[in-house]
Amino acid sequence: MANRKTALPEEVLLSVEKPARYIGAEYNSVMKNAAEVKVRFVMCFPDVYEIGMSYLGIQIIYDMLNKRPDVWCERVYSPWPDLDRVLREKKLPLFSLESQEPVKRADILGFTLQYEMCYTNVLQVLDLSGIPLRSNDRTEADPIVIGGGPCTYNPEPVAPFFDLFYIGEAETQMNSLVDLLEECRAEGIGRTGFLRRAARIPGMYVPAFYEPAYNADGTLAAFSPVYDDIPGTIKRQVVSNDDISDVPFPERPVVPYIQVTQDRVVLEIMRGCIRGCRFCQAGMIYRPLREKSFEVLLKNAETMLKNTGYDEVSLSSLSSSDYSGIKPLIDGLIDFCGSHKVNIALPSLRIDAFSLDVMKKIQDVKKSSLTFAPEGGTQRIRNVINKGLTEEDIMGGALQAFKGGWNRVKLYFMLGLPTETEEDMRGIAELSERIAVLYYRNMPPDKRKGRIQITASASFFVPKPFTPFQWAVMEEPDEYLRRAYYVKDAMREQHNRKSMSFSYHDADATILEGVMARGDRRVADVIENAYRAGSIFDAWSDYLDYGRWMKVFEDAGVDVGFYTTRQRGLDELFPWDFIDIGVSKSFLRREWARALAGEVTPNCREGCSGCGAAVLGGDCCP
Amino acid sequence: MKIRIKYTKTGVLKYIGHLDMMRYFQKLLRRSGMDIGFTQGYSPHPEISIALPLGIGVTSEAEYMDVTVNSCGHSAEMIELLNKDQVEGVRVLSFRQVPDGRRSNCMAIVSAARYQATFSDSMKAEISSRKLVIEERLQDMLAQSSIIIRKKTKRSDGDADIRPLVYEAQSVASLSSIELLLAAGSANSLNPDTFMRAFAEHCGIEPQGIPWHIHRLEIYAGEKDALVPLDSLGEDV
Repeated sequence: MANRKTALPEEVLLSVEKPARYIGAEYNSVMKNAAEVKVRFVMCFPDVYEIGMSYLGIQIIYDMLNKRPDVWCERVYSPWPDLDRVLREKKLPLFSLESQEPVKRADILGFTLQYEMCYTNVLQVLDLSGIPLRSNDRTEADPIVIGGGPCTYNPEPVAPFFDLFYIGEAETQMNSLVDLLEECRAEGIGRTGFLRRAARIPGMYVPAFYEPAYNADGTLAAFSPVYDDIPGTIKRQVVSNDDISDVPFPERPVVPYIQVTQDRVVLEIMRGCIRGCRFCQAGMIYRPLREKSFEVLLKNAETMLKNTGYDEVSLSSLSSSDYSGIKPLIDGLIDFCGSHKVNIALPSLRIDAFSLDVMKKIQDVKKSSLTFAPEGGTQRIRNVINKGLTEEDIMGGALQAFKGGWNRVKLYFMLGLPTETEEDMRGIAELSERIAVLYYRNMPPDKRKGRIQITASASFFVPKPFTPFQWAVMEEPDEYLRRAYYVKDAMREQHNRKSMSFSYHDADATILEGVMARGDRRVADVIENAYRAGSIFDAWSDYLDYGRWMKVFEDAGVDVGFYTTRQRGLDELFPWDFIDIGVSKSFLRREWARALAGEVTPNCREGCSGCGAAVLGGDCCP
Repeated sequence: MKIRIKYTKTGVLKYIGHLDMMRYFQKLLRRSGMDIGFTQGYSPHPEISIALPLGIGVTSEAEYMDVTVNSCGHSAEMIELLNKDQVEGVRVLSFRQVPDGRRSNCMAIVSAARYQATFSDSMKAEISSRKLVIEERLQDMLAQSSIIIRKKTKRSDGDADIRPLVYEAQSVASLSSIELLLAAGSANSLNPDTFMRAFAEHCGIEPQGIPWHIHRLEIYAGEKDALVPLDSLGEDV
């Protein structure tokens, strides 16, 4: 038996929490002979292993690239702070899991950027790998550093750290990029030459080839390419509706030894969303809706379950109830999973007669809870955010659920939404109260299974690029907590307060996320300085040092308020406007105006609102 | 019917904890397509139990797991089936039917285990620089009527006598290893690392870093003077 080597010596592995994060060798992980491949690709999710391994996107890219005999795609995740310390002390280079060899040996290092608070972890991974943090300091000895994922829809705050961003879905152009690298190698063309050519592949953005110019007030005046042969606008690349069912899926997902966040087979049923909630970036940047056929999905689920041995399968989409084949898909899954003793997890299902019936079949009513995401406490604010959920929907769903035996309700809200008033905040408590009253009025004591438990939680709204709320003004830091306390107090005033609880997310991260989300290239220095001052794992509230960040902003002379509380003009040129996601800025502007007027916009199935994404060919696009 | 599977856990698998090994086997059994017995309820899982949890950092060539199956093929076929889908470091060695019932469960019947502790290079150097003869020091240690160690747990701080839990201890391959037969199981159990620390103390050596590597050689059931390996209690299918 070949004896697998580990990059880390035994005494290091035995001294850190969960050494299994760093040894690779998981079932279905792909080993190749490095001498037999032309391109070595290392894919990174810049967070801890358990989070990164739960992300379907990397499994898709890993599968797609490793199907090529000329490419070896490996994985790396952020070393947890305990190992981070050891690597720095002992000057050990960061390594990829499969080969256990230094990341620096890779030809391409790809980061998926899923949330802004991982930016310092990108720098951590580069630094520990011995790769210069900034693109312009890199040499032929360094990998090409590329980025993808939702945060690349405004890549500017991290632009100097990347050689290239790919704006779009991996299946469309990733292979062309790898082909190009092979071509350049064969022709003896180096990094700069490669990047020059790469910048002409649709969807590829090479930040070094674009220059921003600023107005006296600090806003962007122009953003243009420095060469004539590269495009001024980067068009997002997507799989078409016709091809979506045939897109390769990871038939043999890597199965971790340790328990990860998403420890199950994940079935991606569709991309895009018809809803058009105005706060939701995913709802805009993944348009249009493209559904996979349920027959294909049932086959895929079976294949993945057989190839992994997982005991659970979960549907992945932005709003599974909107999937038009949901009934046959779930019936098929119940059939197969029942006979194979596999659980089905159904997140993001709207509560109605159908979903309650399904939930009764597949889970223990006593142990499960109902989840509603009204996002806002009053119908007025729900109209502002274009959340289609009405009070009747919630009450109707809840009543049916109570009769079915449920007595636990989770409610998700956002605070800090545009136009939010105290009435909207109080609405969170009052809606909770009405649900409690509904329960006690309709469920006679002999039919009740104890007291109803209502758990309301609130996150703080952060305006994101490419949403109708990209023009929104954020609140001052203290205001977020004030609103949370306001809701908490309002909860205490309710008659059924003993049946309710309220919790809220970390407020510190909100401001930072706000700066990074709508930041420009000038924010990059702050991110680098924060990293140099010791910030990593900012997405973890235990590790986020807000005070340190604020000091770094101050020292760098970068005004947080410019990015958060400044009123942006309707015609302001945004740092991300050079990206064409399909949805037009004029549509977003229209939606922003409708939001302020409290007008609801129909979803894509009810009627096309002309967002612009129809050019990409969606399932319900005219 | 109940099947006892003997398997190895070597190489980098020493970094995988006991519960994660359970999860690994649950998935392996599902993938194998074997006709396994499941627990009841909304989240049914294969009914398996592992004999004596192995600590992180320890390797083994004799791990045991009991699993309920409704039906199965011949032992040789099943060993082949399970091994063709295995990660490096796990190898199924035997597949035998054992009597049903809780009392014969592999977890319940464990009474002793055999280990080999191999000294690291730095320990070897330390031992030879002190001109210690391991076998002599061992015999000298075992000749004592009691070996008292300080036991520190979250709740209490006390002394314990480990001498009755040491059934055998001898040096092998001159300087480099010690083979140990120690009491194991729920009633009385001695961790090989605890013994080795006591031995180092007896030699007047303070262990540094990773002073030895422990490898499990066998797990036994039965009385001290009539120990039998766990898989000898079953029959090939």
